[in-house]
Amino acid sequence: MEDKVVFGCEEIRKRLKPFLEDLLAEDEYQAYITHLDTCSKCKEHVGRFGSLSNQLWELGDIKVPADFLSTVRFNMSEPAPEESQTPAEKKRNNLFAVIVILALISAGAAAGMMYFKKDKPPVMVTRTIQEKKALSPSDSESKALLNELQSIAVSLGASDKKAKSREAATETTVEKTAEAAADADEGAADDGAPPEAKGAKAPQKPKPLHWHFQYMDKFKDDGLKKDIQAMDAKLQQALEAKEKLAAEMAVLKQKAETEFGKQYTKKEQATKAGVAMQAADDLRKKTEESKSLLSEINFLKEGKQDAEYMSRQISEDRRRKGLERKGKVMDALAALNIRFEYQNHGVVAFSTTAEKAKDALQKILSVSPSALNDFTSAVNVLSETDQRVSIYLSGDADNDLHWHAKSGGSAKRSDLFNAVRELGGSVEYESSNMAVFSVPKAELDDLRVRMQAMRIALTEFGGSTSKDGVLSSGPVTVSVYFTS
Amino acid sequence: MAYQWDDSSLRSAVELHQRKVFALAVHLIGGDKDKAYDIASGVFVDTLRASFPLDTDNSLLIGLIRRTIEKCRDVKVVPSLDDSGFEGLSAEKRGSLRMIRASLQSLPFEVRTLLLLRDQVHLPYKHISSVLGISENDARIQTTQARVKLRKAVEEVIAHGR
Repeated sequence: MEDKVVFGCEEIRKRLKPFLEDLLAEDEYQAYITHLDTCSKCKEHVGRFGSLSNQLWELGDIKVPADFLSTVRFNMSEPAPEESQTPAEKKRNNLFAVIVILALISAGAAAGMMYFKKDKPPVMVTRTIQEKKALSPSDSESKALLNELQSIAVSLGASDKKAKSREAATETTVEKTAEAAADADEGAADDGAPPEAKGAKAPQKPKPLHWHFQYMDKFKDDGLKKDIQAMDAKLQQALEAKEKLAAEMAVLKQKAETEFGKQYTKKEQATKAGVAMQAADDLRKKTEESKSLLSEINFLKEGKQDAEYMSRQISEDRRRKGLERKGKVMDALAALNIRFEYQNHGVVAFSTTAEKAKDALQKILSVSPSALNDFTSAVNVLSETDQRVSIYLSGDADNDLHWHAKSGGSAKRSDLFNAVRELGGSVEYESSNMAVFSVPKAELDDLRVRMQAMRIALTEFGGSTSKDGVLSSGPVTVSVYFTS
Repeated sequence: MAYQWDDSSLRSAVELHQRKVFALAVHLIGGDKDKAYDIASGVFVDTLRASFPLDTDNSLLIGLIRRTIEKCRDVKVVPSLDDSGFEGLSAEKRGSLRMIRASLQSLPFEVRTLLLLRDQVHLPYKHISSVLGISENDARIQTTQARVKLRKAVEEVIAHGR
């Protein structure tokens, strides 16, 4: 076993040039790195040399978020995804098994053919080429098997793609399907086109764009919450143990005092004194136990306070970053001199040129690409005419309600607005594809029921009280994007 | 059935490698730290579930790196302007690091991977070859070529004043 190479500071200076040029032997390279990881002086010295390698190293000096370990710990406690296969995955896995079996069978058949060929008596050598060919599987048979395997592979790939697209933004899929179906309706809907145009093919209007921007991160301190809950439970147990211990100590104290206070005969004194002393001894032990329990309780309390503090810090940090992102998006839109037609309750709506709409999309993507959900495939449908754009900016769950509604035409929209007014609400804003209205919270469920009766398909976003049924008085504002 | 990690082994394993894995993910996907966080935490969970505490630190690190590369491969690179890691540095240093970062992001994924594995994670070439499925010799040659490409990318960044 070879000795591990260890470098001191002198070796670091001597071997600086070959290190920077990556010319050290591997064991020396690792020894060099190990020393730099532990010696800040040498690291500083080497870092002065602005080689590309050094700078790549410096770029890697990134602070890992404090809750990373908690997140990993929490996720480790969740069951592994392989334990819960969807039926589509099971079907796919079964199909894959079939392919493997077919492949093995065909390989076995080919191998068998070759084996039998070898063992044929010498007279086979004299056969004509055509005859020999007839003995091997025909090309058509091989082709048929290959075609079968290929068709299975194609259907496997198709079902795999289907499963993947189902797992991705399902709301997007639903909405796009709804839009595609509604496109056929739109021609029949009251779009203000003159009657004479209905016979001819009408010019295609640009599809209004609709985006969601989730400016707040996913809440990442679930692990921390679990830790706090666990600490709470332990704290409760410790406090209960403390109560129990206190009761036991009281009994022992009473016993010790009673035994010491009694008058005994000389004969009795020996045993009774022993009992009293035992009680006193037990009391001493319980007191020690109590001290250590108190110490544990204090430790748990402090730990819980620290965890709660960290959780608050994470929430505040998350909120701050989320609001920064939101600010950047609004600044980006302002920089493009876009005038909003409507800006309230988490929604901005405007009309602009296709070029600016594209710029706006790029700028929002550069703020946070993963936060943007584009419900209208903007990149593909941007035309050369003006675009209507509406953006729903969502933070936490406790934000304004936002619905996607497939209404199937302007008549149903009117019915919806009438229903809002009948329930004591009012429509604040209306455009060809967006509306914002407020309605008393207590009437929200009623409104949903009415929309169902009107056959208006609904997808809900945002809001913490949208589904739990716990309603109080006061109005709630809802922004609605009409997918048709 | 996966090994059930006890808390202290889990903590040791994560704390030993979290910075390398997180930094690798950040620079492979262009700088989005939130996305990198998701990738890195997922990588740790997947790798630890498939590992044992008695595995050497090297085999665990190789597993982590391999999974990180796989997960980052299909992520669309969106160059980040996040300078939050540059606090306390001189303006000149910050400028230089920004330039390196921009140059790195302009390179193909495979080239970036090689550079980061060697010059940031400091993997030995035999481990790089194991991670990428190439020979050790190829790993050395390709890393050298990657450095040349990075240098050219930096020159281009300087020339165009990006």
